[in-house]
Amino acid sequence: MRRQRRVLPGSDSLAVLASLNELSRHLRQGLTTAAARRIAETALTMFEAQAVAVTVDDRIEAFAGERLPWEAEVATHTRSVLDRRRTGKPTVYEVTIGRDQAEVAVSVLEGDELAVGTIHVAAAGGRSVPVRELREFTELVSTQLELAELETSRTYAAEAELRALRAQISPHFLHNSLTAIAGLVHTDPARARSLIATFAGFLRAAFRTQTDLTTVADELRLVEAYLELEAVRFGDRFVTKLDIAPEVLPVRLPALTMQSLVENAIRHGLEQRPGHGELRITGRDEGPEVSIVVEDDGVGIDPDQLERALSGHDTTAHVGILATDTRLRKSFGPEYGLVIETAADAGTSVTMRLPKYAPHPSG
Amino acid sequence: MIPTLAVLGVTLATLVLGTAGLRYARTTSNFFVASRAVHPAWNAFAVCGEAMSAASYLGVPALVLVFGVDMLWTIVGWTLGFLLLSLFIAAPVRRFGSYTIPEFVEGRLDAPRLRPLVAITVIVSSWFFLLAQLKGAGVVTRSLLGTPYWVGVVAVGVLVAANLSAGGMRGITFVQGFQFFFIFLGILVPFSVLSALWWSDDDRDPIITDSTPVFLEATTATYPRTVEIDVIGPTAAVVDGVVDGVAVDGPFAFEAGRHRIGAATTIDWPEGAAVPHREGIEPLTGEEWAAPLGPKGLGSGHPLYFTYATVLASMFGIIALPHIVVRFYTNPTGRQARRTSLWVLAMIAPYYVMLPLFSALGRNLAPDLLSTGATDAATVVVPERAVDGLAAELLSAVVSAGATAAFLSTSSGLLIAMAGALSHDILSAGIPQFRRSVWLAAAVSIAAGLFVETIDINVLIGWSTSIAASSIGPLLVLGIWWSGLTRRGALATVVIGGTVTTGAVLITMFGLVDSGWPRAILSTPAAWSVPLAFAIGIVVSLLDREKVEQVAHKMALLHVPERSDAPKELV
Repeated sequence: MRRQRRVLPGSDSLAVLASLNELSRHLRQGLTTAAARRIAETALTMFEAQAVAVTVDDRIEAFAGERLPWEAEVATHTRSVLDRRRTGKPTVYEVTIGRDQAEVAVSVLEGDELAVGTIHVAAAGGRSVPVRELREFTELVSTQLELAELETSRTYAAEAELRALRAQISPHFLHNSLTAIAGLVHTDPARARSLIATFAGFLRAAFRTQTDLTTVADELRLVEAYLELEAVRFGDRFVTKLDIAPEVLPVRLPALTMQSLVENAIRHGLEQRPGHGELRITGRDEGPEVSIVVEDDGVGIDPDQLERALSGHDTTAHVGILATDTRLRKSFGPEYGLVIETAADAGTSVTMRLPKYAPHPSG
Repeated sequence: MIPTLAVLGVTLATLVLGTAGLRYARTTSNFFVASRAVHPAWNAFAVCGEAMSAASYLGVPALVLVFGVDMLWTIVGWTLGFLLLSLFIAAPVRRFGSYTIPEFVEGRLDAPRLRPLVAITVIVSSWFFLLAQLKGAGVVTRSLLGTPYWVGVVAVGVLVAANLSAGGMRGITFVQGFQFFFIFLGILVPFSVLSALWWSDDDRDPIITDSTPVFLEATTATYPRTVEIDVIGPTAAVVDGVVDGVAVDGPFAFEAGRHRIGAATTIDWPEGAAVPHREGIEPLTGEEWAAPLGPKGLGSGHPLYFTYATVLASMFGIIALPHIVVRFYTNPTGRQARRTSLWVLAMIAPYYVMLPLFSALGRNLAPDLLSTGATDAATVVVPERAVDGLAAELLSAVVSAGATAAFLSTSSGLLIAMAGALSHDILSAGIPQFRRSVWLAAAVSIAAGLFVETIDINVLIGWSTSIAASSIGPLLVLGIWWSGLTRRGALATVVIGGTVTTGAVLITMFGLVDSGWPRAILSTPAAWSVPLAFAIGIVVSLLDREKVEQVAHKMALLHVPERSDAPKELV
């Protein structure tokens, strides 16, 4: 029997594109129940099929079209194609409906090289199933699923980065703080005791894991504890000036971003500077956004070196700034990167903008 | 001289405080102070600074002076609006975390495409509100400095826009809170003085009389623009200017009937003469003025309908005003936001209660305003007429400073909200866009502000609140309190509610209906358009099969109180 290729009529191409577009949006979350239902509905209209079934692994997740008595067949053939790893060309089998026979094509959905589910398309009365079209369709869905997978791993990567960032403050700073406190234990036990309390508070805030985003008010408290600990080593070598509009305080930002900017200002600016320095943190209300500026009058950074660091070529210095920049862009979008103004011996000012409202990430 | 200095002082203080008046910590020990949230009371001062605008400060006394006590329903409606805000809106919106109304709609309904539409509705209703403020600026500067009307409009528009685009409102909570004190004192001081004088005066002139207003002493009235007045009986007056197209300089005998007075004409009306009312202002006897649901009253002979429409418009209009909702964002939690809104109620209610005194005394002290039509100046004019010499200057200074603070703070807040919506919701985000949007919004408003000289402040406010109350108001209430609202339901509410009200406003504006029920229904549409907007939103949502996903999660964000183990300083 010669299979007739069915060409989709031109007038429908817009509808098809729209439904594919809609489908790929649903697939952003991976192969969820809602996505499976959407796959079934799209395949049904696109292939003008009698019925469509979609499974996730070997579990039947969605039906569309006529309710056929074919659950058993679907289950059997799903297991069979999954076991035999029959990816690529769809397999055709037949089901009996009353006295009629219907052709069913089944193909395997893949996400990141792994079989994740199947699509069964039952052809409408007497027609042959669109095997080639189903193959293309399956590949399109598989590609989308792979992208969703990638998205998820990117989130994992960001989380890993946060962990790394948290780990990064520790060795340097933990050691310095603990030795400084140790030095005070005999000479000034009262201060040592209060510093240990501050230290504990800092750690608790820094390692709080349940939420990635914190408020500027909470972050300022973290910075306060951090500065208090640094003050043990630096004494009065620099003063801190804080100038924060109250509208800025409830704004949410990724945890430890301000802290890492402050740490950067001390490590790479004020620490290497002779004489007294000044650290200034400014928060301003700008309508739907706020801006936060951390500036120091320390030694500044050579712009060329900074550029190398920010483009990832030089991974030795300013990792903190690079990581902060990446996290801000990831949380709020590419336009929310850091703005750094600096020159050798001219101090450094780092500006971050934050939106007052970032839509709640769904899921 | 003193009033002028007071106005300049308030303006200057606003500019200085906006750039330099932030809390400031020099040492780490002050970190705690600088990172502590604003107290709900102070935040309430800021909300009041925004809410006590030229519309209430100048508009309400004018309205009651002209139309009588029925107009008090406006402030009753506003107070109810703040109650609504306090009970149903402030805390959930704060918990949700959205800053503007378009953001709330986008987040609640997953509808990025609804955002520009809602933003446009917000901009349109803010725009009418801003026009009212600019009109107030023109009127106050004119009555204070004698400058033409446009000087005040342009000066205030440019000043506010320049201040905003230079980053002068970066700590807006403090500036607005500070302005609140001027506004409140601007009403409280003259209220105390006037009522003390009234009670201590043994042969005071009665207000509730059986005649229409008369000049209790010889009065010089200046007609800033060309008007037609209705002279009740033959009156001999001294005129300097133009009457009925003829230049007159000296005594002039007015016949009963309508006369056309040229711009910049002054007329010395004799003591005891009946006040010739400006065309369009119905002369009311004291008894008619003081009687609720008066027969000559409002709503084109349907005062009860008018009452409901006014209350609904004011009430649902207040919750939809963008510059007020955003102020609650400064509260760290929903609970704090609700506390702030309670403080607001406690402060704004006495403020509203004091306003009608200016209207009541105005019928005796400044009846010429009914003739010149410059009724929006009543708040400023009445106190200085009650006393003499230095006291008059001082009272006038206090009132003018309050009025200046009122329109400066509200104009700033509205301009920020409009520019924010333009740059953030319609164009793309970014600071350069924000500056450009400030100037764009200011330029359009100043240009339109020049043409609204003849429109009463409260007519502008009425349009603004009617449109907002029939679109954004129901959308907010349904979005917060009903999980079933869908994108199409929201769209239908905004589009249909907004369109029918705007249409009704336009029909009235062009005078296409002039009496009876049609006019009542179209000139004050809120009594039917607010329920209609609600009904449409509900029906369309019920019919709509495309529901909003994860609606339970969103309702939880709105309504579940924040974790109670939040740091102590924030609670």
